[in-house]
Amino acid sequence: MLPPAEYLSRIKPFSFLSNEELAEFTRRMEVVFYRAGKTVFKSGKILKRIYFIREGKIGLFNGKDLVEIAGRDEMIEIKSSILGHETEFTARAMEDSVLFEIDSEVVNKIMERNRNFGEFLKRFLSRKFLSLLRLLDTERIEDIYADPVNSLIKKSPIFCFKGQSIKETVRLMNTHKVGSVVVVDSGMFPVGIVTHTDIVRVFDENIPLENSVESIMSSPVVAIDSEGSIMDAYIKFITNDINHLAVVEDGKLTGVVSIKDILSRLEAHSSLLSVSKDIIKSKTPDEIRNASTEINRLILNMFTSGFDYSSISTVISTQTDILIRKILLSSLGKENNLVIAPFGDYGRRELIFPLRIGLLIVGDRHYCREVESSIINTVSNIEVESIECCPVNEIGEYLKNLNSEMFLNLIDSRYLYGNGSFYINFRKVFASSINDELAVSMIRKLARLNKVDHENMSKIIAEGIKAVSLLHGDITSRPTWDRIKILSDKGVIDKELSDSLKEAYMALKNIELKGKLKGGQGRIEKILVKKTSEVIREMQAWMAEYLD
Amino acid sequence: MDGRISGLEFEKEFEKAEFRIIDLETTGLSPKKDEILSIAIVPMTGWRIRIGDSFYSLIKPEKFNHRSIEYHGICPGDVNNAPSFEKIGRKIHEMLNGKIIVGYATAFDIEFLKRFFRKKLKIKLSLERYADISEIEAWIIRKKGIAISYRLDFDAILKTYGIEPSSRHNALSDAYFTARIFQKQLKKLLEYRATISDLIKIGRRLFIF
Repeated sequence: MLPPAEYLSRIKPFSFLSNEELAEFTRRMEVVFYRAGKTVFKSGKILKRIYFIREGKIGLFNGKDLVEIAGRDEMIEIKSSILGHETEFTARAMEDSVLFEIDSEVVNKIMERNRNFGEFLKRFLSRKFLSLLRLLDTERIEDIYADPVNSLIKKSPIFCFKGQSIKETVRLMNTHKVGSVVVVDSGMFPVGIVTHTDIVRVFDENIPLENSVESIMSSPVVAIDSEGSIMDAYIKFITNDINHLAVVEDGKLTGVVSIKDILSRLEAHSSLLSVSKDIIKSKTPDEIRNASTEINRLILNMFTSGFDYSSISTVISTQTDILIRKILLSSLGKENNLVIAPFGDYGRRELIFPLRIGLLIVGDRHYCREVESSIINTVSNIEVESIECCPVNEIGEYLKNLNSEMFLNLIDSRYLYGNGSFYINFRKVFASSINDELAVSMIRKLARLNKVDHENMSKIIAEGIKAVSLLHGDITSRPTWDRIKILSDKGVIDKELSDSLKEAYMALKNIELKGKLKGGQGRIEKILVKKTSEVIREMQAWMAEYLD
Repeated sequence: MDGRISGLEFEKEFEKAEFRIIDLETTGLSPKKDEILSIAIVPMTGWRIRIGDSFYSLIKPEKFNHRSIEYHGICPGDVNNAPSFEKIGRKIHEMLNGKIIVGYATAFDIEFLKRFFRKKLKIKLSLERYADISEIEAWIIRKKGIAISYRLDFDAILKTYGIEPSSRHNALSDAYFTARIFQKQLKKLLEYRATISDLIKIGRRLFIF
């Protein structure tokens, strides 16, 4: 394989190509050096090649204004190369740069032939950012298989020495509630394994329980090195037709994994069910605390199994609701003198991870302190970001004194615990206190915002959409993607922009989540975040026009 | 060198120049006794490496020198079905004729090619316009006022330009990376206002100063 093909083969979307397809690319490719300041192409041209930056930096200029700088491994003005549109910008080398220039014709041909490659570019071009991220999800599933098998081990292995009796072994299995015991020699090297099936045989064949365990164990034991992958373990299970595998380090036993451990790692649904059960069954603060830490594992599990942000957030919101209710029940009992309502991100079920919540309490002030301390004292993985205290008889007064941002945050409140009629009353007063000016000033502020970066992009979309929804009389708490859909159905936002906004928002949320869980951003994510800023600029232009 | 033609003309001359980056793999170091085992040619027009028009072929030798396998990794079995030099000689001639040949240790490759054309195809090959990237690099270093008396090796030059080789030691990838180096050297030559004929003098080390 030629070096440029070899280089591209490691980079998405070219990594979707077969060796033959990559060879076709290189047959129609030039590797071009541009000195700093040289023009790569001008605006208003229809490009006949794809421009891939191998090294250096290319600036995109609108007249004299530098709009964007693209760097290594990025493609520029790909819309023109593939869809035949005129180029929007003039591209100029900001420093000495080397570009791979590939004939568009061959790229188009291969897009038709290679589904993944084609879909990737099509979704990128039509700004289907979320579905583009989904296309990359297969990697995450592969990641799980590549994890070391020792990541599955939850507790130290149950083992017995080969001289011990069958009776002792059965007792061991019963005490620890395990289905198998690894038999080791004095050096901790596994020599065999005893499972339920062997014990059944003991009774069926009337083998005396005083006999040594060695006489009934299956030997040799199938083992895997602790650094071996989950995929390797899975293959061993299948090829040896067994249910338990000894995990060893330098030949010595360090753990046991069962086929169930593997299946539960790969199947997020099963762990979802078990977490709900743990939370529902928990009563004491200790049980609640344990159940709450399960939530963290569930988030990671769902993420690595390919669920996207909206599903994870919806599921985890419900779990968090149950958990908070449990905490409140255990600390306050069935209290009727207050109502508690999540608001802000948590209120509209768009969780911020690690979990950060805001709660509105309508009731006597002393409840606020109690609620906050009972949550903080019970669970450590949920941060109470803010608690709003609204006295039952002074709702109007309380709302009057709120700043506009907090006021808009309360749109996203919903009932969670306590006296339902208090909440109904609160929403009534709230609805009557709303005025359009709040929304208008928020839209104006967002439309004029110059600082648009990866940190505030999703917030701009969420708040802008909420403010516009408010102007159209919608004050129900709901996720941003639902609001976008409603506005689009009403014809407030045109279909193209609403589709782009939804895709951009979901992609940003997924990228944020991935950053929190796995740390950092990959190359494709960085490019998507950059492209999303284009959508935000369009949204800002639309908001400014909307107010006019 | 200065003052003869304007900067723009220098550039135009470079942009139109036809370079052929070559690399040979041989059974040994003696053009008299040893044979060519493979040849790679990467065309370059101005700043553009036309990778799609590259040519690479193994060549079946008359005799195989087994000691050389460790240098090029080509085994007798690889070249059993390869064409003879006579078969691909015309194509090579067509690609190289009249062009500026660039390579690493180019004089050595040129010597092999000349001899092979004369012996096997009875053609007198005129390849006087050639340059060696190692000589060009030495000139650039001297231009900066640093004395240099040793031969610069390929990996060191790659490193100088921050080029990471992916899979070296196949004639074609070597020729490609030579081209990548040469692009960057051209830029330096242009900054020093060297013309194409200067380039050849520098590249053959006929420039002594």
